Amino acid sequence: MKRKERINKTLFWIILIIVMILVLYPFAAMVSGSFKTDMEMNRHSLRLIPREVTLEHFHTLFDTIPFWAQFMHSAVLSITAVVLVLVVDGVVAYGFTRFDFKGKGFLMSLILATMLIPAQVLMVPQFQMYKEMKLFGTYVPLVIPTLLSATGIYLLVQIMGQVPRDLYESAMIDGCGEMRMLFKIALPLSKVGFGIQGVLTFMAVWNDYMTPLIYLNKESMYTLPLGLTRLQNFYKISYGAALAGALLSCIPVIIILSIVGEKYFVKGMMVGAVKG
Amino acid sequence: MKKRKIMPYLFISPFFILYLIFGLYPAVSGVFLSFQDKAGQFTFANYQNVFADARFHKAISNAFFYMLGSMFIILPLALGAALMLNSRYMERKRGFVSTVFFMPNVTSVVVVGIVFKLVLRTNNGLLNIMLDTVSGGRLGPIKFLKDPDWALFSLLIIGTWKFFGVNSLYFLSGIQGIPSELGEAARIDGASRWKEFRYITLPLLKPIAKFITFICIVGSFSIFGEVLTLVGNSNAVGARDSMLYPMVYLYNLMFKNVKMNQAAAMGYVIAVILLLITGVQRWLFRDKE
Repeated sequence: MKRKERINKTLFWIILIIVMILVLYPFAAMVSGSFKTDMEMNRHSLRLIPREVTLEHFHTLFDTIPFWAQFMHSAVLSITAVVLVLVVDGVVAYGFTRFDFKGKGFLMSLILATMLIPAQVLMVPQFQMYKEMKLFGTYVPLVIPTLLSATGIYLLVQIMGQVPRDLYESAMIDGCGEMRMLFKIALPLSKVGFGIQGVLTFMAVWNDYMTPLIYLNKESMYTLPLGLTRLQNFYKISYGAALAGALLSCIPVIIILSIVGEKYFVKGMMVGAVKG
Repeated sequence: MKKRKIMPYLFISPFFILYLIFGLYPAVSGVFLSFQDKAGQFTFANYQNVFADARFHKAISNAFFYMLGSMFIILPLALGAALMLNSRYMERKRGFVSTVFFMPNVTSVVVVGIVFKLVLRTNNGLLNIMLDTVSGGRLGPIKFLKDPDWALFSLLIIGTWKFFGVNSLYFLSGIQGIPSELGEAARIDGASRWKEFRYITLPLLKPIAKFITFICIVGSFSIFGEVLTLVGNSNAVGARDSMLYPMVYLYNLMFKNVKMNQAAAMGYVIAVILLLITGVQRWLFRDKE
């Protein structure tokens, strides 16, 4: 019995490691391709560890597109979106968890119902609207959609709802105002929720490709994903620069993933799944 | 005291104000747009054009087959991966493995496009070189991206890589929500592993499976960035429009052909199609007594 168990376990790990290699292989190919010379790339495409390490692709990348400017655009935009989303979602979630009021259940389901309107419906009329508002060509249409997402509010309501009501009551007796209670009680006690929503929003804006493609018309305003696609024409000459750009654009994501790890991400998704 | 009555509504108002302006208003104004011609006159022509448009049919059928493919390929794989993540052999490495599984999902579509072009391209593509090496040169290079017969397969490879991990985590959350007493009781009664899976785990995963298939449907009709970065946006998206997906076509109509009104009409038609498909899905996942 013991022996069978050991064979099972070994087999299990062999399969799992194969799966993990398949998942990680494209990343490895990206890293290796960023540092390989063109010649080695063409002759020994599959070789993961380059014989000759070169930084030429990074030079070409920086010479071809204003990489760091685009990097900063993406960073500032993502952080702005995170701050705005946390303020809006936090205030709304506080309203829903702190008070009992008429129509509470109905209004909450109204918020959830907004998720049923598919993006395909909104694409054209939203574009017309932003044009009429003279917001086409600005960063506004890139941030607004994150504020309309119902999932963040739902998540924060779930988590903030666990704050004991007595805390608010006793703070009120001490003469605490609502805003103070939001910042001193609700916010610190639902840090995890804010963290998850912040991370998810950052990822969404950082990785967004379609919205900037639709709304940004000046190359000087491009975000990183958009800038990277501009290397398309460059593919024919050298693929390394595109890979190098892709690699650098992954760095913030990798940093966040390694700091907050699976905890925030997985938790964030679970809450999303529960409502299904 | 009146202040206290208004207070809650003040707190929740930001979302409703924002949604009214930036969500509801366009959703409604789009209806008018879809029934107007370029001069602003009332017409049905936009919808007629959508229904008669062969490229639109192609985009919908592409999305439909991708949806079926993802349900029958990605979801079973994700369930398998979830069972592995839940296995007692995992011990303390579950966190690490699930982070690895999750990584493709937080990678931007542009990065995915760049990397998979390297993997799938015909000349010097990594997959083709591997196939060539394995088959000893007998397998000629496959045009994964340029042959219409391979287009769906190629996108499904990418979809599997990108989404099986997240879905396995969804399934895992479902599996972990199943009370362990149920499995123990079944085992005491002499049920085999397979029977336990078939009659306890699987039925109890229904709510989560319903959620995942819903995401699958919506996701299949929202494919955009992968295609544009892989094959670009020329007159045909992929050979013979084999990579033309609804979102891509919408974008095309808007910016290349500047047919705003027809694009608006198409948006609503796609929404109705989605509604029908999710209706069927809900019916398939209904609670049978």
